[in-house]
Amino acid sequence: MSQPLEDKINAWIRDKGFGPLIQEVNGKVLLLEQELFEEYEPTRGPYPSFRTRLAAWLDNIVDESSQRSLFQLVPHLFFLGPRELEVLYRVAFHTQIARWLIDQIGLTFDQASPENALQQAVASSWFCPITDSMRINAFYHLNHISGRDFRPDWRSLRQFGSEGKIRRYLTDQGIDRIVLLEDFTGSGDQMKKAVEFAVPFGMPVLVVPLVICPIGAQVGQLLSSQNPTVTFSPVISLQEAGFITAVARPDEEPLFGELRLIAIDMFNGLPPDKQIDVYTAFGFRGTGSLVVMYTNCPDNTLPLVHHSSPAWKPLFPRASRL
Amino acid sequence: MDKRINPFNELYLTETIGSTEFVRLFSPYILKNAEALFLPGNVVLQGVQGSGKSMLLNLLKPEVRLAYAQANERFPVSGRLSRFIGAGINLTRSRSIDFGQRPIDPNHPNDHNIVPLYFGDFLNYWIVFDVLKSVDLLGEGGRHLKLDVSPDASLDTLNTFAIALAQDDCWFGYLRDIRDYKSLKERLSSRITHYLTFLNFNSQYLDAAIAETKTSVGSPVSSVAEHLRKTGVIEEDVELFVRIDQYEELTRLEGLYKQLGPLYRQVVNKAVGLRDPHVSYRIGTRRYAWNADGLQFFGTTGQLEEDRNYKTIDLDEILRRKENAKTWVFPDFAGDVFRKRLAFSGYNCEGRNALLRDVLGKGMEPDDKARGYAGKAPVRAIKLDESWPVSWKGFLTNLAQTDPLSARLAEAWARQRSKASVTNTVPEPPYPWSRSYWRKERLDQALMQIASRCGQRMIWSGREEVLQLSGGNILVFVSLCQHIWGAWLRTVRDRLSDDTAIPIIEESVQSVGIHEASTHWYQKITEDARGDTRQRFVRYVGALLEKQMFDDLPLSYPGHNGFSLSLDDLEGDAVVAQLLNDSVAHGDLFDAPHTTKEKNRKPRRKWYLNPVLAPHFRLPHVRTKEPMYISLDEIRGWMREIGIAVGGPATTVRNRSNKGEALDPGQASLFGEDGRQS
Repeated sequence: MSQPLEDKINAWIRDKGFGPLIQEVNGKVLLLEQELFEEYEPTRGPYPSFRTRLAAWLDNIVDESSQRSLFQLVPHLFFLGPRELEVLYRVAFHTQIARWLIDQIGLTFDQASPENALQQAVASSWFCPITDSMRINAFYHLNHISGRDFRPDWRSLRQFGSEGKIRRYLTDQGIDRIVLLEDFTGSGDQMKKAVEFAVPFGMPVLVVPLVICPIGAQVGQLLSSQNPTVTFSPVISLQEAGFITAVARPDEEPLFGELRLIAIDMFNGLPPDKQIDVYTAFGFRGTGSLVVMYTNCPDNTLPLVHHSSPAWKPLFPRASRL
Repeated sequence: MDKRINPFNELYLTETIGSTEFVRLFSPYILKNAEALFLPGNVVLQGVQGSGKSMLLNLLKPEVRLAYAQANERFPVSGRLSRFIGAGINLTRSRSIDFGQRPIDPNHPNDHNIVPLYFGDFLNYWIVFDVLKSVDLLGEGGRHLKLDVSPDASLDTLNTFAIALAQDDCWFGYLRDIRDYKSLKERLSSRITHYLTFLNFNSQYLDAAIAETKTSVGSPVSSVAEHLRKTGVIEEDVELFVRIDQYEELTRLEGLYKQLGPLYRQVVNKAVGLRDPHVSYRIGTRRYAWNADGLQFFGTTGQLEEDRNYKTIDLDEILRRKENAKTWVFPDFAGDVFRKRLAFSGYNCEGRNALLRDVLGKGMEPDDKARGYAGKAPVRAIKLDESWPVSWKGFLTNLAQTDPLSARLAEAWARQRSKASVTNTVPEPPYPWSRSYWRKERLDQALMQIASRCGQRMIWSGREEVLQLSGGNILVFVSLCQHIWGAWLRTVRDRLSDDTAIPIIEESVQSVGIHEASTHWYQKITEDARGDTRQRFVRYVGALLEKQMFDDLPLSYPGHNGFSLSLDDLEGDAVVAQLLNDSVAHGDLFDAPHTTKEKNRKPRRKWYLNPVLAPHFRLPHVRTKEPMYISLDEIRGWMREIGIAVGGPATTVRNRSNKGEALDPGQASLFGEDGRQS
């Protein structure tokens, strides 16, 4: 039987070399657990607590040094809880969207009743999610947007929608522009398809990912440069330094090097069918993200964080679509 | 009772709870040495953060007095000491320190000179109003509860008092038309509200009537005390104690009126300096705010004199350990606080006379600590000198297997001057290095080195060590308990049920909590003024002392966890003196005079890190033998290293040999790789 988690962590803390660091990490993990991690939806209800999952997760590996590296990874995870996402919804509306609308309608400082003009612009815009991951209702409620009955995700529209019906709806509703939102964008594949579907409707399109990975940001910028009607404006663009990918960055911290090896070992230890599930040791398209949202863990995130199988116990098990 | 709640979660409990809870939590042990607080005469109650000042001052509040009576609990002081009524002001909560946020008369060429007059007037009105609130509280509730200090609260008496008070010249006519007690209170309250409205920028000007009737600080308080007695509201022998808490806030004023802080202090000093037999002031202040530079009276060159104008109760002095451990009051105080916290959280503490010891235990024996550090490779505890005979090396290696501490002490013995002969003739037990004093003085340094050689942090646990690390500060003690309890809760979180038994916390778990608390206190240094500089100094000194003690292979200098400077040197450099005094006043360093070992007999002073910082810096907290003697140039060198501009010749920080002598510059870098892990 493995050593209880607290005994293990306490023993690490008592070590002269790495003890002070582990003590600091433990303090952060305890705080994050209390403030954020229990919000993770796929583990709400009858499911092992975060601390229990953490113990099992560390025990995926026998080597204690690697266990410590895994433990040190936890504060590096960018966990977006419900409050954080609410803030992002508001920021998106009041900065990215407001600025774009002001440009769109040519609003100037000396214009009479600029608030009314801006409200009109909001009323003639259609705010839709790119995928069903984005909780568009919450976005509408938090920003007090009303007057739009349908807010379909454009991934589904592209699959099942009728272009004719969409065009009719745009005309009937007096919609002048489309705003596409997404909570997390990894590689940008889904964003690209949705935008390419939206462009032919012939109106300005604003694409607002709340959080986007560098690879996705490149896709967004390309879409914008290739389509004059498309504006790409993410709220948070993650920096490459916050990713663990197959290739080491020259300035990356030593911990990431250790975690890279663990990620590769973990992937190599999975049976082939499970390897297919997680795409690569660094997740979908090798993104190597460290993002976890309270709603789910993206497949762009390191599989060692979310993958669940007899060969690996996850810290934040991913609720997969497939 | 929810066992997941940490009884020590709220550090400043006695400041935030209501009076009823205060009765359950107040510990009377501290009162033994604070009797002056309940005797006539002004008292300055000083101590570092968390020393218990506010807790003691709260005892003077009428609400607390009533709460004791309501709970049918004996008030902590009795007889003559209990013949008082209390009132006062908390300089932060009353918003007195808002004076200075706004010019009173922007057109006045010397506005900052007149603002202190208004500050003094505000204090007067606030305190007088609070005295009347105390009279009301004790009059209504006190009579019912048969408190023997209860004022006569009959309407006729109070009205007579109000009319007499209002006629006093000290009000400059502001209360002239007062005809009864009710209107007196309304007028006082209205003036306070005027001030607060103005200070909060809710009115453009201060009422003109206020500008024309500014009172002299202290006079109205004297007058109210005199008239309360004259008109029979309180009895002649009932003292009026006026609390002025958080005096140190006056040293923290920032912004436009930063220069007003010293003037405000002078205003308060002036009230204290009146030496009014009718009123006794109790000033609660942190150490750094009460010093010789700030004792001047407002408007004169006179200044407060200790014993003539006030007595000092120095809580740090009372609660820190002296040479004679039997007279140390802190252990009983801390034990009582511990018990009351647990009882307050719902634990059944009945019949548990030694609760702190029950929970924390005695701590580990030194030999067991050494074995714990050494683990499965005890030979790491010793370092063998190549020149030693094989028989001695073999002896040490064998001894380390069973008793690594004895082996380390034996190693040191062999390295000491004139004791090397032991290497040629291995002694039989009892070993010379086991002699009582020689061993006792070196135990902690030896353990520190063994822990370090074995790659372990030092273990701290047990009642004694927790008390010693607290350094006589109840806040530090509660903080240590908080982290220890937190560490314990984490180990039992999956097993928590309705088991409400008082736990016995394992030493290893205690140690984790103590390390967390130590780091927390190190990080807290930056919170106060010049904290960044003080923290850099503490970090530098802590690392330097740790290295010196680790490198001392013969264990010749077990007292080098502190340093000593001659008073001549200290007085010779104001920058050095200020940093050291600041660090002591904020509780980062502890200081004490000591007898010099040098032939010149020059008086010296020694400094140690606050004991709670010892775990963070891997230093023994026990003070033994001689501290490290340093010169003025050496400490100037330390200060230069952390970027403080000091005078004197440019010197290089020097390492010391393991014989304690300074080595030439050119030694390897002080904090370079030392390869100390074997």
